[in-house]
Amino acid sequence: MSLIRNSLRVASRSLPRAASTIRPNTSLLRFNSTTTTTNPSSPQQPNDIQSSKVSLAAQIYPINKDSITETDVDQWLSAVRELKKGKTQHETAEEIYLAELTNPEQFLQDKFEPTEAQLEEVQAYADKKVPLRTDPTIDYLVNLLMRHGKKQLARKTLSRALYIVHLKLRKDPIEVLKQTLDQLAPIVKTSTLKTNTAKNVIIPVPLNEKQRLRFAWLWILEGAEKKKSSDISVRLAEEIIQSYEGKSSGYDKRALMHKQATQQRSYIKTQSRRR
Amino acid sequence: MLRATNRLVVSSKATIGLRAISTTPALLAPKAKLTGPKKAQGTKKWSASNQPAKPKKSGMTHHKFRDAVYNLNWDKYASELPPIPNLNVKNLKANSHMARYSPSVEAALSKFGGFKKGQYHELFEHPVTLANENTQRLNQEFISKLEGNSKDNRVYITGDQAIGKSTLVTQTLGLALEKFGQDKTLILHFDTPKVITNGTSDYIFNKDLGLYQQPMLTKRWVYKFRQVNEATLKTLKLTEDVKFSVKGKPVALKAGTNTLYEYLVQCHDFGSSTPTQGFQFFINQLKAHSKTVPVVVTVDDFNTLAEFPVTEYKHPDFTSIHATQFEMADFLFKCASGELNFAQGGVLLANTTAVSQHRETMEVALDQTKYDPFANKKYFDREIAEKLLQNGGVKEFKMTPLTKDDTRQLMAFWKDTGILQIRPDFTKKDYNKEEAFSMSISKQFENLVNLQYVSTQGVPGYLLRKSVMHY
Repeated sequence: MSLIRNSLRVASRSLPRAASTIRPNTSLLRFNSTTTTTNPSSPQQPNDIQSSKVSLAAQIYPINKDSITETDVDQWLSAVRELKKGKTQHETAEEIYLAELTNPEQFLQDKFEPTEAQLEEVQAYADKKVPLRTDPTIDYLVNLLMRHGKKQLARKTLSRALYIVHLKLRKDPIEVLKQTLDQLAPIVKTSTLKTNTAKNVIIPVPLNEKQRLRFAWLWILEGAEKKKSSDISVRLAEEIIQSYEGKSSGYDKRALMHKQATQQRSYIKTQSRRR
Repeated sequence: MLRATNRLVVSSKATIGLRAISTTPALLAPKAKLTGPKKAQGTKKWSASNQPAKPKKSGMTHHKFRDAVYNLNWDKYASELPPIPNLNVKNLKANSHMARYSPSVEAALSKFGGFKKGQYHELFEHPVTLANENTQRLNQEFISKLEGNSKDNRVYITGDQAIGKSTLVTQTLGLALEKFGQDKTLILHFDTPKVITNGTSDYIFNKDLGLYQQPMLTKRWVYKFRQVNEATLKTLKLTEDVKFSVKGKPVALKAGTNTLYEYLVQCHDFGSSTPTQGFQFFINQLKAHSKTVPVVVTVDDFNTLAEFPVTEYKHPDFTSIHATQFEMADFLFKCASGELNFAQGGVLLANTTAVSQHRETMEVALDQTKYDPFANKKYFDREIAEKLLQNGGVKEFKMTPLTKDDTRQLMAFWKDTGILQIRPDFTKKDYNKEEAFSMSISKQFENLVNLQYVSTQGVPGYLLRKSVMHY
C-alpha cells in the first residue's frame, strides 16, 4: 500500500491532473499502520481500501476501481510498451505507477509511527524508574534467613511467617515487620579501638540502616529458635508478633548495647580524632 | 628383670606375722557394710525427676504451618464480610459474583469436610466463593438433572492444579442443599477416599458379601452422614423391618413406623468388630428412598482411589487387597459405574493433581485415550476402567480458568476485605533525594490485576497464593 501512496505522491507532484483522477476517496495507509482512518463525516465509506468489500484487483491496481475492464488492461499494456521504448516523461497514471515499480528501495524503509496514545504513555513513564521485582528489605532478610543456598525455601519460610502475622494482626505484614525491626534495632554499638599503646579503648560506633536491620533480624531469629513449633515459619511468626508487641528478648540486648555505648561515650572524641 | 607380679609385699605393722605375698591387696580390704534396704536390680525406671530439666519453650502452638493455619481459628480476627448474596441456584447470574453459604449449609459442609486445608478460608470471617462460569455450567449439566436417574447423571471434574475442583464440589453441594432444601436431600460426600486404601483402618472379611469391611472408617463416615442429613433422615420411614442387637439386647425396628435416622442412631453394627449387613441395609434404604428424595454422591480426589487401587491392606496370604474388595470402595465404584442407581440423584467425582500423573486408568475411563493391552498393570487398571465405562460412561467436566474480569472482581473483593494490600512499586532508596510519596490506588490496583492475571493465568489458587503469600 505504501507503493500506491508513494505513486500518488509522485503523481501529484509531477502531474496534478492525473493525481486528482486516480486519488481514492479515502487516505491511503501503509500496512499495519497505527494511524486511524476514520472520517467523522462518513465513518464507514464504501470505497475504503481496508474494507473487505473492495476487491483484491482494485487494491493492487492503483486506480480506485472495483473491477478491471478490458480497457484498463489495454491502457496498462500500452504503458508497458511505452516505458520499454525508453519514455522518460510519464503522463498517464499507469505509466507513473509502473515507473515507480522499478525503484522499490524507497518503499522498503521500515519506519515505526507511534500513535498519540503511545506517545502519551511514554510521557507518563518518562521520569519514572523501573520498579524492582521485590522489596529490597525483604530480600536482605531472606538472605540472612537462608541456609545452604536454598533461597526459595528461605523466601517461602518468610512468606508463610508473614501470612501468619497477617492472620493474627490483620495488618499489612510488611509494615508490621518493618516497624518491628525499626523499634527493635539498636542505633549504636561498641567497638575496640587499637591505640598501638598499652591500652586499647572501647568506643561507641553509630550503626547505619543495614547494620541496624541485621542486628534486629538476627535477634528475632535467635528468639524464634526458642519457640515450641517444629516449623521455622510458625516460630518466626510468633517471634515477630511478640517483638511487635514489645515482648521480645531482643529489647534487653538492645538496652545492653546502648548502656555499654553510653558508658564509653567519653571516647567518642578519640574515635573522631583517629579518623 | 623384676616382674611386678613376683614382688614380695611386706606387710605393715598391722599385719605383723602374716607373710602376705599378693598382687591383689584389695582382697584384704574389709567389706563395706550395707546400709539401708537392698536395692532391687533392674532397668532404671523413667521419671520426670531423673531427667535433666529442659528449658521451657514458649509459643502459641506446637503445630506446623498447615495445621496451625487450619486449626487455630484465626478466622475470628477477620473483618466483617461485606454484604454478598448466598450461593443459590436462583442467584446464579450470567456474570460472575462473590457468594457465601447460608449458615445452615455452611455448618453442614464443614462437618463433611467441604472446606479443606490449604484453601485459605482462614482469611475470611466465613467461607466465601466466586460463582463463575464453571458454577453455572455445572448447574446446567449436573444439578438440574438431579431429579433424574443417577446412572445418567455422572460427572467427573477435571482441570489444572489449584483451579478450584474441590471448591466446585463444595459449591455443588451447597447449591443442591439450597435448591432442594436441607430436609429433602441426602448428601453422601467423601472428601478423602484415600483413607479407604491407605491402611489406617481395621478390616475384617465378610464371607456373605465376599468383601472386606472397615468398621472404624464406616462408623465415622456414617456418623458424619447422620449429622449432616439429620433433617431429611427423620422424615424417611424404614421400608423394611430390621433386627439387630445392641450390647446383647435385641432391637427391632418396624417398617413404616421407625425412621432411617433411628436406625442409624441405634444400630451399632457399622463399627462392629464382626461382619455385619448393617451398611448394605443402609444402602438399600437409600435406594428405596431415592424415589422421593434426591441422593447426591460426591467423591473428591476420586483418582486416588481409581488410579491407585492396590491398597496397603493384605490378604491372609500376604498379597495386597484390591480397592474393589472393600465394602466402602465397592459402594463408590458401583455408584460411579451406574451399577447402583438412585431413582433421583447424581454422582459427582473430582480429580486431584496431588498424585502422580503417570496413571492411565481415568484417561481410558473418560474415553480420552484408547485401551492399551500392553500397559503396565501398575499404571492401568482395566477392571476399574471398564467399570466406569459402563452405562454410557462418566461425563468429563473440564474446568476453565478465570477470565480477566473474574480476576478483577475477585481481587477487588479481597481489597475490600483487607486481604489484598496495594503497595507502591519497590524502588531503590535514594538517600540524597527526599521524594514526595504519591500513588494512585486505582491505577496500582489495575497494574496488580494485569500482573497477577498474566503470572497466574487465571488459576484462582495461584492467584490467592500470589496475592497473600508471596513476598
